[in-house]
Amino acid sequence: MASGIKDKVAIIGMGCSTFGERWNVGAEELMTEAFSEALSDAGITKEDLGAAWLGSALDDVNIGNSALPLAFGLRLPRIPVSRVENMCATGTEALRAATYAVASGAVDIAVAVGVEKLKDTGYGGLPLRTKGTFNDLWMPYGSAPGGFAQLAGAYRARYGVSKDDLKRAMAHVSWKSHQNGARNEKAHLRKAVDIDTILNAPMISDPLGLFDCCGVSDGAACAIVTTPEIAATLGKNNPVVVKSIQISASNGWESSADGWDGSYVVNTREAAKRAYAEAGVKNPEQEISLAEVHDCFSVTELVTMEDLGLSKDGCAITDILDGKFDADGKIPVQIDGGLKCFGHPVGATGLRMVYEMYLQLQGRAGDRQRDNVRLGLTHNLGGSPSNSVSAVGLFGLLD
Amino acid sequence: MNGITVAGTYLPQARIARSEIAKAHAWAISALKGKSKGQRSAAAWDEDAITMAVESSRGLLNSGVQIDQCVFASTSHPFVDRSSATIAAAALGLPNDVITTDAATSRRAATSALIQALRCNGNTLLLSGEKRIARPGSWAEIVWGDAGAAVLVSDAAPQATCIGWQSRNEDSPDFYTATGFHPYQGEERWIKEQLVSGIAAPTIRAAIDKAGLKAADITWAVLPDPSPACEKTLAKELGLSATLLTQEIVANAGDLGSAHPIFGLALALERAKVGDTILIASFGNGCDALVFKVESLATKSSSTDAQLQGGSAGSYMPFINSRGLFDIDCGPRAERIDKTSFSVHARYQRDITSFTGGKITGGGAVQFPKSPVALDQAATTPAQYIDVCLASERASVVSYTADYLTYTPQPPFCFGLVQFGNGARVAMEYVDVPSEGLDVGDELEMRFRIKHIDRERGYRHYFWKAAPINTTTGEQN
Repeated sequence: MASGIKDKVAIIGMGCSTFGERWNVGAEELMTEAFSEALSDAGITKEDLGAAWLGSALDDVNIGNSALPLAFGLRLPRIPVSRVENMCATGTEALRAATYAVASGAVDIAVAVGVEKLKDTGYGGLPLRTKGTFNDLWMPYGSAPGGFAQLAGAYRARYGVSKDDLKRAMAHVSWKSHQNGARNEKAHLRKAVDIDTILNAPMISDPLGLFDCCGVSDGAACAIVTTPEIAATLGKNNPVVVKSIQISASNGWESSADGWDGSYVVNTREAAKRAYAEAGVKNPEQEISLAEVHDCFSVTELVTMEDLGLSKDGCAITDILDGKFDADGKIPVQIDGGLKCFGHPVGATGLRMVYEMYLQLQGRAGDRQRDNVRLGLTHNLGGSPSNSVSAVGLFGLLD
Repeated sequence: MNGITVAGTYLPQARIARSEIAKAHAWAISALKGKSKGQRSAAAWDEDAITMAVESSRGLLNSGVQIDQCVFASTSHPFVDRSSATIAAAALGLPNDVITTDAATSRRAATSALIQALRCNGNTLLLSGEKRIARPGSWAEIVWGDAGAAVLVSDAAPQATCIGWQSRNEDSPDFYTATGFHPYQGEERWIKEQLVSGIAAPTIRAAIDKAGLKAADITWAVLPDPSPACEKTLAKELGLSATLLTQEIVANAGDLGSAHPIFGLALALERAKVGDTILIASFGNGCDALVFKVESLATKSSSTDAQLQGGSAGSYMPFINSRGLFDIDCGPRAERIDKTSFSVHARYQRDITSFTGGKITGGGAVQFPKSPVALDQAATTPAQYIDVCLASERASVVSYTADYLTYTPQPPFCFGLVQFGNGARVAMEYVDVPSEGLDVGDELEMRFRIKHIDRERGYRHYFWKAAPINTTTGEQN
């Protein structure tokens, strides 16, 4: 039986670039921006690093293959560098690799950097990608909002919810995140939006309107991890520690066999179950202080509340409309503005979520700061609900 | 001699009112107003001669007749060098040793192939389909229609036997389409008075004579109508008192090119009584005429009738855009790379084109595509699958969206998860979706369609899509 990584790895420094339409900088500059902040925060030099992982998902308009752009960009001292890609869980995957390296004792200090330069596509969306030479022969093309919009009808069918009721709850999800993002100087979209504007926005993929979709932006984030013991030698006696990082990936059951009704995400439930077990969380609804979830689309956040056990099944609409996940609610979700306001530079997103938890746990989140933050959850969901990779991370303080 | 064992038809869902076409061009071509009665059938962007012909023939294979050859007749084959008949045979799951032949370059292609099929030994699946591209504002654009039609020719329980036929070749074009050019038509009155009267009439008369009948004995007639009022004039000249079907087809769907006489034959069989006689004729570089006697009514159906009366209103702008006649700017999302890998296609084409999944020996869930390790297989050794065709399996909606972001020539792009009755589940594109969309649980059936077109290289890849059953237009009789 694996003993897990709970409390074995401390985060001693983090950095996050400003997200947005960063027309004047490239991926290398974004990485440098996040890395410099993290290095300064950790109080180390790059010669102290034992290994590095780069999370970058989309080759098309990005930095190309391998992790060399990281080694070149940051002029790393010939340490092992690897590039990882796991769709929208890429940033978290980079952190998982660095965390596991430290937990194993293979290296003392490791760095995870996530970056994506999406705004060089030449239009306002994700790059067009093949699904592979075989899958292209039969699998339907469909946009990311198209993939996640599938949740809506299936959720309505399962719980007998009207289109209007679901749409109102989805609108509240986006309204809440825009409220939060307006207070975050690193967010891309920093404007509060009223409910009517959200409800009446142009349709993107039924029933997702424009404001049900996260932004598309450039950004980078970085985490430096080490053991709690080494952290202590650096003067960090009660550091933020990793309680768990778990990933679950589809094996084809949801999309190939009769059983799943399409109203929830199997892998989020599976990753959450494992993460809670590893971290010793018995009642997530009571124990989790804050959550940064993968709100690529409003309906995704809605079903994720149930998948993570933050709402009971069938109760997410009520909980959302009651303000449970608002900034002043019981469990604030996307207190930093989320993907909705940061956009989703894919490789950076998971680490950007951890960045907010890192700040909140240390009381450094400025006017977004919540009281008594004990346990923060991050969640990523890549692919589509029927073919997904889901990551759940839990972060707290050592003591 | 072989006979017609069963016939089938397919009309695409959309109908363009001819008045709309005439109105669009009224500023320049006022003469179109005189041709603005009725409507024409309009294939969707992902339909072509092959897909429509396949749809028309899907019910023909239930008779249990072993097919020896598959012949595909069209003047609008999508490829000059890639066999339509072979693609259709693969879609229909016919064995590899079936002879596949393409007939082309004449509106008589289907009837000439039919004569040969009737005369030969062995069983022939004869498919015909047309999606002819005509210049905007032309007579052809407004009068023609898109369709598929098919007959199974064999000696097994024929619904109709051929009791007389005549074919005549004559290189006096009333009308032609050169490679790379739009269709071009001769003078209407000359066609009617000289060609139809001089070539078609005597050919048809000879076929009736060979059948041992008089013109007045014909019950149903599907006559060529290459220029206005030809059908009526020809019938009068021949002394026919039969029910004429061409104008009815033209009014509701259009002149269907090489598929027209086969479509008309299916319609006549649907309405006929035992003992009736049916005359079909085609015209173009000559004339073919065949006379059939109805022997039995194996399965009474009103599918063709229903299709003629059915459909839903389409719009002219999407119609000309989807035919490549109006090149609108679809934005950078339309720059998607759609190149097909030939070697990948070769590895999987039988399963892909015929929509065949599998289940592992000893039972288990059906899955598509077949993966090296089956979904319900504990072992990690390569699975041995029993083929299961999903093309005719009823299914239902698990999830759905209408996606306005993904590029498609006729937005929105509708897709979702589809659950099959046999347990298989496949992510699929939806077609012929009503404006109100689909709901979870809605019943579906499969349609053979173009999946994507590689516009840079002129290649098109075929696969299956799911259509709501309520909008079905392609049942076979």
